[in-house]
Amino acid sequence: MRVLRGQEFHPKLSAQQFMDSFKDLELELLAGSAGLGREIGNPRIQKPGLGLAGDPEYIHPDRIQILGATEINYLSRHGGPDQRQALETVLKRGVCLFLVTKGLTPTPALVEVANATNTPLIRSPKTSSYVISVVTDRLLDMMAPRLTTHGSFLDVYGVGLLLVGESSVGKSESALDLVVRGHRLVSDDIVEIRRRGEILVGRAPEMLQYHMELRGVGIVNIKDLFGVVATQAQKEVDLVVELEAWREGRSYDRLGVDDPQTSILGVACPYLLLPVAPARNITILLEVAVRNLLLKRKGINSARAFARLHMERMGSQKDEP
Amino acid sequence: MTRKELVISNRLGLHARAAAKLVQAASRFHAQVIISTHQMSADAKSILGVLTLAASKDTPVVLEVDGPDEAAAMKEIESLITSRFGEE
Repeated sequence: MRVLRGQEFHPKLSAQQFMDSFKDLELELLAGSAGLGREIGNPRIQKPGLGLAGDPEYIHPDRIQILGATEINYLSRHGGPDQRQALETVLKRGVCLFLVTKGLTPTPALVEVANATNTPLIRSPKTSSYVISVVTDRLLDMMAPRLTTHGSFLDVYGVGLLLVGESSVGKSESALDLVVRGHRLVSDDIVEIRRRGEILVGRAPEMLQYHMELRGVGIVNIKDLFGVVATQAQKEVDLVVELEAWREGRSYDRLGVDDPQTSILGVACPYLLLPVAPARNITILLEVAVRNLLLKRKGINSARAFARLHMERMGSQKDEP
Repeated sequence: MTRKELVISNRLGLHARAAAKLVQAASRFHAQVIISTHQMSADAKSILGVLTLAASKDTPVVLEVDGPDEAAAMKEIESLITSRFGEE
């Protein structure tokens, strides 16, 4: 599968940055301040559970470990040297940070081991369920892998259409044409794509938003020119179309029975290579490509249906005398 | 592919007119020209792309030129940046 080119970025977050970005959780640092530079490598949290009972194998040190009432009560009831040893085994794995919820008081052993191993121990007065949902949701966005790519991105009939191709092939002009026909511009020229789970969301770099450059005219603002209904802040990427100046001798898809794809940040996305040539109305072709994608999603594949019909006809011809 | 690290040295940085000069120079060649800062990279033939870099004075940039006329393209763009776009 071909891969969409661009500049990839995988954001990471240090424990300190986490504290700065989640002020609404009223976080307070209880121990391990020397470890605030540790990096959170995964947006998903973990509850250490059995890890504290002496089975630390499944503790993922790159995830935030949530210590709720279950864990804190367990630690309070099982004091002594065993607990200290279990904690040391867990914390020596280099856990990025422990987050105590519900304003609970950690056991002295936990505080001591956190300080000794430079593991940040942070507390929030909010309940575990609230903390978990807020942290997971926001970290998924903050830590989403990103790809900055060159292209135009629009909402066409509710489908996120990403136009790519070499410079001056006509991406901006096609985008403008689509806007004039009532579709919405998300970004022209540079598109920032974030991967949230298996979903790709595209938007414009902040500075660029809703601007477009048209050769000979200059930089224009689509929102000012066409109004708020002609733009959209972000959109899921559903279809990638590469525009290419028609190349003699190159073979373009003539059937459309296959479903070519391109990989964006590891996620497969439908892809078409569309040759640009005089008398080919690119805007109409793009609209048809989007309509066709919508049909395919409903389970209707025109190309395959035609091929099937063709096979049937050929079969019935054989039977005739 | 030719690659070169340069520093934006004119007082105003890659402001609108300087960016336009850069884009016009890059567009005269067939080669693909990519200009990058530490934060992001842009197609040097795209004015919005180059402006989005927001490269102020003393920003290090990397030029990557790829194509049949890359040597000439690199020479022209490099001289434009090192001559501070004819500005102060």
